Amino acid sequence: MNYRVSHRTRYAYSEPVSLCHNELRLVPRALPHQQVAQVDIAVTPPPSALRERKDFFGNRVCYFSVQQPHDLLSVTVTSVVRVIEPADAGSPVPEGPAWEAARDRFRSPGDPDTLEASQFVFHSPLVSASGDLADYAAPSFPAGRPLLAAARDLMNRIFHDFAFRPGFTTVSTPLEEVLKHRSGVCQDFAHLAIGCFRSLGLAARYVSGYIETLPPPGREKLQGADVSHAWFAVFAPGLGWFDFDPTNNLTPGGQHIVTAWGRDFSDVTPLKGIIFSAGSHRLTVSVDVERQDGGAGRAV
Amino acid sequence: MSIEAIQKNAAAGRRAVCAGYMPAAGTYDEMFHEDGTTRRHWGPFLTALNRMGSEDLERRRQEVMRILRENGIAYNIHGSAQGVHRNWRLDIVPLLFSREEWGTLSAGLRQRARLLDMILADLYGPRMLIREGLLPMALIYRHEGFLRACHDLAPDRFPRLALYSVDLARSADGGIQVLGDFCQQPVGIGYALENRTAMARVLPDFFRECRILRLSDFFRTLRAEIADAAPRQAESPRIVLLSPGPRDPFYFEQSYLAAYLGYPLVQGDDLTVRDGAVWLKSLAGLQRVDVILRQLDDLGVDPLELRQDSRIGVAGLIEAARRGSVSILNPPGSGILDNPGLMAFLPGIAQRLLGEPLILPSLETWWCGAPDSRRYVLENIDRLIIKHIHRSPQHPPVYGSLLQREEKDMWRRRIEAAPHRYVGQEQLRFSTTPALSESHFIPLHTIFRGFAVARRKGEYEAMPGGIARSAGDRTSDVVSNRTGGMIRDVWVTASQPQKHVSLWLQQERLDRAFTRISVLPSRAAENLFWVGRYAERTEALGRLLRTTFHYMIEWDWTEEDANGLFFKQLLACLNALSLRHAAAPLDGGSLSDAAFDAEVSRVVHDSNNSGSLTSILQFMLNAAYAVRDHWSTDTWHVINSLEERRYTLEKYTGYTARMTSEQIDRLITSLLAFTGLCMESMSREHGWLLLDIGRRIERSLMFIKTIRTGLVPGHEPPVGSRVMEAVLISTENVITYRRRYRSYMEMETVLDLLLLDDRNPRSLIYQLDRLQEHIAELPREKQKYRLSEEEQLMLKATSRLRLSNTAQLTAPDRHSKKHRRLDALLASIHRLVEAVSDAVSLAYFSHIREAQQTVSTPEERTP
Repeated sequence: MNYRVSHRTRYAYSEPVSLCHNELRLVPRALPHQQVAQVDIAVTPPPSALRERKDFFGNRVCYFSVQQPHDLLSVTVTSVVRVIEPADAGSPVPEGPAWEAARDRFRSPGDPDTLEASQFVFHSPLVSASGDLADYAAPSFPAGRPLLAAARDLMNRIFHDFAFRPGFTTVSTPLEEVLKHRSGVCQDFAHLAIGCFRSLGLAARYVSGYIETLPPPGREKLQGADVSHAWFAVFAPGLGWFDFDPTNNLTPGGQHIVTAWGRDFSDVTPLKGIIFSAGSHRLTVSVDVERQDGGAGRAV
Repeated sequence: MSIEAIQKNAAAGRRAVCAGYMPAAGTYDEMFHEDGTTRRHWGPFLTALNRMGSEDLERRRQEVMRILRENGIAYNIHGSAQGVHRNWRLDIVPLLFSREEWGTLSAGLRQRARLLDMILADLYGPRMLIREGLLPMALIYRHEGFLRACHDLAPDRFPRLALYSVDLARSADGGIQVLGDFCQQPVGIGYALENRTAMARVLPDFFRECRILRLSDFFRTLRAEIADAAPRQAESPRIVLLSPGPRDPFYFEQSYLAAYLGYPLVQGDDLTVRDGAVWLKSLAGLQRVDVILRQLDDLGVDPLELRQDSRIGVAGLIEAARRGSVSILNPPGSGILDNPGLMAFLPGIAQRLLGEPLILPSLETWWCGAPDSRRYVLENIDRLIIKHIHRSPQHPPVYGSLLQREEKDMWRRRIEAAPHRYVGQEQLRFSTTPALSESHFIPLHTIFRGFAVARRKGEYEAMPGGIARSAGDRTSDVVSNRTGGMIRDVWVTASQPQKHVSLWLQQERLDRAFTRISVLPSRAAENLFWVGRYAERTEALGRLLRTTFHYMIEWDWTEEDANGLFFKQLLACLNALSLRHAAAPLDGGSLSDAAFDAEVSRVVHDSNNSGSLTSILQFMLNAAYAVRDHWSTDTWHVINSLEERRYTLEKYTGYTARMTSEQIDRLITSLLAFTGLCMESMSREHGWLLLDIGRRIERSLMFIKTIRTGLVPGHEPPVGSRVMEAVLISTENVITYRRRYRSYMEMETVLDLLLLDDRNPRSLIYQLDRLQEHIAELPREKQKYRLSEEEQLMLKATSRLRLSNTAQLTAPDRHSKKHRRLDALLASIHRLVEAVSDAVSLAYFSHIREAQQTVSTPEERTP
C-alpha cells in the first residue's frame, strides 16, 4: 500500500524571532516492511544549515536553523511511503517464549540482539517501572504465558479499561495520573504499556508514526483530519520486535507508518526548537495520510 | 652537599619544627619513616625550612596568605570584602614526590588518561566494551551522564579527552591508589597554577635548592594542544573559555585560567550558532570560534539537544560540534567517565584495550548492579563508603562506619531498590603529611589531585605537580574541599637543577597577538560601558556629598540663611543625582538638623535605593568583576580598595558627618586612582573606548542634573552665591574659577566655565567633544554620506551647546527668577545624550534574549 503523508507544523509568534534552532524527527524510517520512496522538507522562511543524520536509535533527524527575523515558521514534511503487508499475514502469529523466560534472558543476555534490546528494560525520562504498573499488568501475565500473548492481552485490557480523552493529559502528566483516572491519548497508552513491561523486567519501546483514518460513512475525508500516532513494541528474545497499538487494539499491519522509535516520547519529539524571542507562540499542526491506490482504511 | 650532610642537617632541623611530631601508628607518613628518620627526598626541603628563623617563616606564611587573598579579591565576583570564599588555607609545606616515584605515578596517570579516552571513544561509538561484556550495559545506559545526543560526536577527532584529572591517595602500605576520575570538568588546574605562582614568589630559594620540576612545560603543552584542537587550519584559531558565569563556584578559577591562557572568558549567550558554526558576539561583529574550553556541566551545554531549560549553554552547539566546525574540550558526554562504577571494570578493560595491567590501581570498588558485588556491599556496609554512580552535590558519599543502625538499614534498602545506582568502596587510611601549625608540624591526612593533558596521537602529558588537600584537623581522615581544610602545592624533586622558565606564556607569533586585539565580546563591551557610567556617577555623587558635608561642618549658616534654603537646595541636588524622590518637603517649612542628617545618610547608604552611593558603587564593582580580565594588577588593587570603602560606608551607619566625610574623601581618592589607571594603563582599544564613552555620557548627565537642580532656580545672594560655589566645588571647577574670576560669583561667568570652556576637562562641552570623537571611532559599516544615529545626535548636542549664549541664558526673565532658557537648553541636551546612550547600546551590545523552548507536543497530542 502506498501512502502520501504530509505533516504541516506552523508556529506563529507574537514578536519577531531573531534566530531559531530546530530538530525534526518526522521522516519515516526505512524498514523491511516500509519503503520510503520520497521525502520533501519545506521550511519557510528558508532554513540554514539543514542537515540530516541518524540518531542514537537510528531515527532520521533533521537539524536546521532560521537566521532571519521571522514571525511565522512553517515546516511541512511530505513523504511517500510504501507499506508492505507481511507475507505471512493470516498465518498463526508467533507467541514467543514464556514471559518469565524472556525476563531471565534480559538479565543475562546471551545474544547481541537481546543485549541491544535490554536497554529498553531500563527506566527512561518519562517511563519508570513501578509497583502500581506491575499490579495493573499482573492479570495479563499469569505464570508461563507466552510473552506475545501476554502483550496482546495487555493491549486489549488497556483498550477497554481506558477512555480516549484528548486534552485530559499533557506530555508531563505522570503515568500514575493516567492509571488513576483511566484516561488519556495514544501517547499515554503507549507509555502505560511500556511501563507495565518494564515493571516486569521486560523490554518495550515507544514507536511514533501515523495511521490512516477514514471519514464517517458517506462523508468526504477532510483536509488535515489525520493525526500523528503512537504505539508500543515489545522485544521477544529470539524473534525480534512486535508492535501493538493499544489505542485501536490491533497489531499494526498495513495501515501504520513508522517514523521513529525510542525509550519514550522524549526520544522522538517530532519537532522541537529553541527560539530567541521575547514573545509567545501559537502552534498549529495538521496531518494528512492519503492512500495513493485506493482501498479501505480504518476508523480511530 | 653530600647525602650524609643533608641528612645530618635535616636531623638537626628536626629539633626545631619537627619537635614532637608523631604520625599516628599504622599510618604512612609522607615525610618520615616509621623510625623517625626523614625520607630522603624531603632532605633539602627540611634543611631550607630549618634555616629560616621562625620570624622569616611567619613572614613568608603571611605573604602566601596575602597573595591568595589579593587574588581572591581580584577574581571575586560577589563583592564581599573577604574576597572569594575559600574555606581552606594554603600550607607553606608542600607535598613532595621523589623523581623515581613520580616516574611511576606519571606513567600511571598518563596510562589512565589514555585508557579513559579510549573508553569514551568506544562508549559514544561502537560500544564494543558493552557488546563484549567488559562493561555492563546498565552501568552506562542507566547513568545520567551517558548522553545519547553525543553518540558519534566527531568520532574521527582523537584524542577526545583533552584534559584529565584524578584524585589519588596513599594507603598505609605506601601504595598509591586512584580515588576518583574527573573528566567532565577537570577542576583545579587553575588552582594548581595559582598555588605554584604564590609559592614560587614566596619561596624562590626552596625552588632552587630542592630542584623542583617546573610547571611551565605542562602549561605550554596545554596551550599548544588546545590551539591544535581547532578543526580548521586557521592561522590563529579563536579559543574561548566558556563559563557558567559569576555565580558558579568555580568562577574564580575559570577567570584566573582564562586570564593566564589569554582566552576570552565568555558565557553561553556571548556565543551564537549560525550556519552550523559557533560565533562570538563581539563589538566588531560576529567572530568565528574554533575551540571552546568549556567549564559547564555536560547537560548544560546545549538546550536544544541536552537539558532543555539550560540557561548557560549555547543552542545548536552539539550540532556545530557534530559537523566538526568547533571543538569542545572536554567533549560533552565525558561525564560518563566520572562514574565510579567504572573503576570495578578498568583492569579488564586495560587488558583488552591496552594489553597491559593498570599501573595505578583504583580504590577497590564494588558495583552493586552485579549480584555478587551487591551482596558483598550489603554485608560489609560498616567498613565501606557508599557512592552514587552519578557524582553530584545531591549525592554525597556515605561512610558506612559513621552510620547508625537504622541508617544502615535505610541504605541497604536503598541499594536493594536500585542497585545499579550504587558502588561500595574500600575506606582507606590516607597517608599523613606534616602541616605547619604555629611553628611546629602536625600530621594531616592528605590526598592529591593530578592532571594530564592530551598530546597528539592519544598520548598524554602529566602535570609534574598538582594540588594536595588535607582535612582541617588531625583527627579527621575525611578529606573534602566542601568541608574545608588545607591545601598545598605538590612538588616533584629532580636530580638535576631545574632551569627557571617563567610561567608567563609567550605568544608564538606576533601576528597572532595582534589579531586578538579587536575581539571584545559584546557583553564585555557593555560591562565596560557601565563601569564607566557607574564610576562617574559614584564620583559625582561622592563629590556632592563631600561638598555638603563640608558646609555642614565648616559653615555657620544660621546667620546667612536662617531658613536653611541652601541646604535644602543641596539636598535637592543630592536627590537628583541619587534618583531619590525627596522624602522631606523642600519648599517652605524648615528642615530640622536631624531630618537633614537622615536624608543625607540615606543618599550615602540606603540599600533600598538603587541610586544611593553604596548601591551605585556596588553596581560599578559588579560590572568591573564581570570583565576582570581587562584590569591590570594595580587596577585590581584599587578596585579592591573601592570594595573596602564600600563595605565600610555600608556597614557603619552611625558615623558623624566628619567621619563619613573622611570616608567619602578616601573613596574619591580611590576612584581617581582608578580613573588615572584606566587612562594610563589601558590600551586604546575598543574596551577603553566603551569605558570612556560611558564615563563621558554619565559625567554630562550628572553635570546637567546638578546645574538644573542647583542653578536654574536662580536664588538671590547670599544663598545664590553659595549654591554657585557649591556647584563649582562639587564639579571640581572652583580652583579654575577663582583663578580666573577671583571670588566674585556671577552666573554668567560660572556658566561660561561650566558649560562652554572647551579646554576645561570639567566642562560640559569638553565631555560632548570627547564623546563625539569616541563615537566616530566605534567600528561600524559606514554608510558613505550618512552619519550614524549616534553621530547625528552628538552633532545636534554639541551644536546646540556651542550656539548658546550665556548672556542670553542668564538674562532675567520677566515672570520668574528661574532661568528658563538655561533649563530648556540643558533639558534638550540631556535628552540627546540619553538618546546617544540608547543608540550605542542598541548598536553594540548583545541584547540577550532569553531562549525559549518550542516543542510540537501538547497541542499535537492526539490518538
